[in-house]
Amino acid sequence: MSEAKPLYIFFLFAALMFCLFFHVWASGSFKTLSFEITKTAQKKKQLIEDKRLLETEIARLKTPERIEKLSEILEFKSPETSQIELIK
Amino acid sequence: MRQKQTKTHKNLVLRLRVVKYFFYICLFLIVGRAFAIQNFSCPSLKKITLNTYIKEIEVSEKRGTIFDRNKEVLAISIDAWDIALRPELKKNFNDYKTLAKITGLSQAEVKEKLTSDSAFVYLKRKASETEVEKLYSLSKNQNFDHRFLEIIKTSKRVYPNKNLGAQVIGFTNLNQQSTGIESQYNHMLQGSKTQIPIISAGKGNWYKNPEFCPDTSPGNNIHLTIDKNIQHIAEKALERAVTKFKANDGKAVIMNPRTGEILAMAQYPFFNPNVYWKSSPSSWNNRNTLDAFEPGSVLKVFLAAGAIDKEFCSKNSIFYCQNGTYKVGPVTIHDTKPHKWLQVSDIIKYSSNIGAVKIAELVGKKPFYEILNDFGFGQKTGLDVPVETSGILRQPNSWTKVDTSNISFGQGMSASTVQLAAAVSAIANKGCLLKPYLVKKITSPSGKVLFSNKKQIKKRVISEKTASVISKMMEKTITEGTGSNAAPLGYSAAGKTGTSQKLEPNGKYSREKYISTFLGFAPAENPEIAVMIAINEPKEEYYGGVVAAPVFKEIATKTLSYMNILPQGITIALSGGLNESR
Repeated sequence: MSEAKPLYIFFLFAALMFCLFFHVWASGSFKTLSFEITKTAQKKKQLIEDKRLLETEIARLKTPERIEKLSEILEFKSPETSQIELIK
Repeated sequence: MRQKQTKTHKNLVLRLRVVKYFFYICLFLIVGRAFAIQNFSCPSLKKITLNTYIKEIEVSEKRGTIFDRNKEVLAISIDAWDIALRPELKKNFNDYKTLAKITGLSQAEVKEKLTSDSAFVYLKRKASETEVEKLYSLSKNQNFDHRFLEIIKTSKRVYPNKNLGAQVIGFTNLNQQSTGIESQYNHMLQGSKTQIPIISAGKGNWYKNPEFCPDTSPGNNIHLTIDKNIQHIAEKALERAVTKFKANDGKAVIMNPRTGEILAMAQYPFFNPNVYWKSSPSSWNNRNTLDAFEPGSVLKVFLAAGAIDKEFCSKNSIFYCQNGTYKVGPVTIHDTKPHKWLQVSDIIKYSSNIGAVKIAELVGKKPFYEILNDFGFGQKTGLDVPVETSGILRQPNSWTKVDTSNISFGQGMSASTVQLAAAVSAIANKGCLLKPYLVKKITSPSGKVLFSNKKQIKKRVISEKTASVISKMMEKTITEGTGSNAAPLGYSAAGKTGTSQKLEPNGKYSREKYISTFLGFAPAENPEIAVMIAINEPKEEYYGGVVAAPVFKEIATKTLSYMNILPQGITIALSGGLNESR
């Protein structure tokens, strides 16, 4: 009976240590995951921002003023009515 | 001796016990206090602790995007950075040239800010990512104090098409001032604002508390009825006319007469909303809705339409036009060319003032007022803009005989270009007056439609038959009358010219200052666009048929071609090898 006591205390101590280590590991993992989530969210935000910048650039390139200037450089002209032939 | 030793020992044990119990009590107090702190003083202490590594920042999401009817971007918000400095921490740094080169500011400006007495100055607001990156690299090379430079992330509004539709779209700035659609729909466009906690991760890094997920979203997107290409066509045509005739300004509204959608709302001079402060505040306003002016002879079509519809006369009724001079009370009214007897259609075709006065006299002032009121004059159109004029149309009981005759040819009352465009659309739309609108739909950032605008018939103002009769008369104005310069290439059109004298400060009509107007629609038989043009104070020439009509021609020809409306006279090649002409 007297020999079982130290073993019981040992297991209790081991369980306590396990809980402590698990707690430290879990909170560490939680922090790491939190950082990962934040990083991914930031990346998503950055990609959305990149999309916005690209949309802005497309809008700038498609400005009628710019297209008109380019058409003048390339000597493009609207066709006369007599030059249009509709094929049915 | 032994007794003395035993007594000393007992005293020692007693003292040791006292010390032991004293320590027990101290230990108990410490443990008790720790327990109390841990369990009973938690919220206040927790707050103090959290404040050392958690702070709250205000996050505002970006404004929504404004699109044209074809989902082309007209206004968008992108990331930007405010660059701030603490001049007292600049140490020996005095390389103003490099800083000026990076930020695009002048050396003098940079020097002024760096030598400022203020603890915190903004070097540049709304800077680009490239500028910020260059600044970081400079900071690294120059080994700046880490508190010297402060970069604050923000967002800026960009108008990629510069001046295109600027007065309609408007702008918004740092002081929350806004104009145009930006102002009218500010509540829909602005993104949500919220305070979010961020946690220190050491070395100046912060991360968002993952337990806190604020429900924020960017602003809603607005889809306008404006077509940026039609807007460009209108703006270019206006610019050319205003420049050619050295006019003060010009306005044009293009409307879909079958739905009430505004396809373009142009005015010249332009302004660039990206750098709005460089232009005069007067150019920021949407003059198409804000300015009421005397429309001139274009009003005759509404008088004729009402008179025929209410059966005061028919299209074949003839009026004696007094050979060009007619006295109404103390005022003598003239026609540009003398006419004797004219039919109603000829009064419109030749734009006879005396003919119009005779029709107005026949109709009478109260029914005449009702006709104009039915067409929407003297009341706001209800267009979704921040400010709109209702124009001036006085009650008929205050009209004198001279007033009635003046109003018959568009003087003595005022209207905005958008009112006139809506009124002519009623003729093009078989007699039904529609409510004009600028916003087609509003969508959430995920694309869900929150609001969708639809065609709204205000009322029937004239019968379909009368509308057809008036359309024919207006068509003749272009083919045979004063509006010959308005005939679009390859398309039929109906229209009316107008020239009104401007009022001088002394209340008399000027003989030098005019407003040239033109209103019409095309193609005449199946109208796709209704157009109203006003050129303010043209020099040398001032007749609507000379100044404003060519603007209509250019707008109608280019717009109908852009809209893929088949022009007349084109060859259709049939599959059997036969050709037919349209």
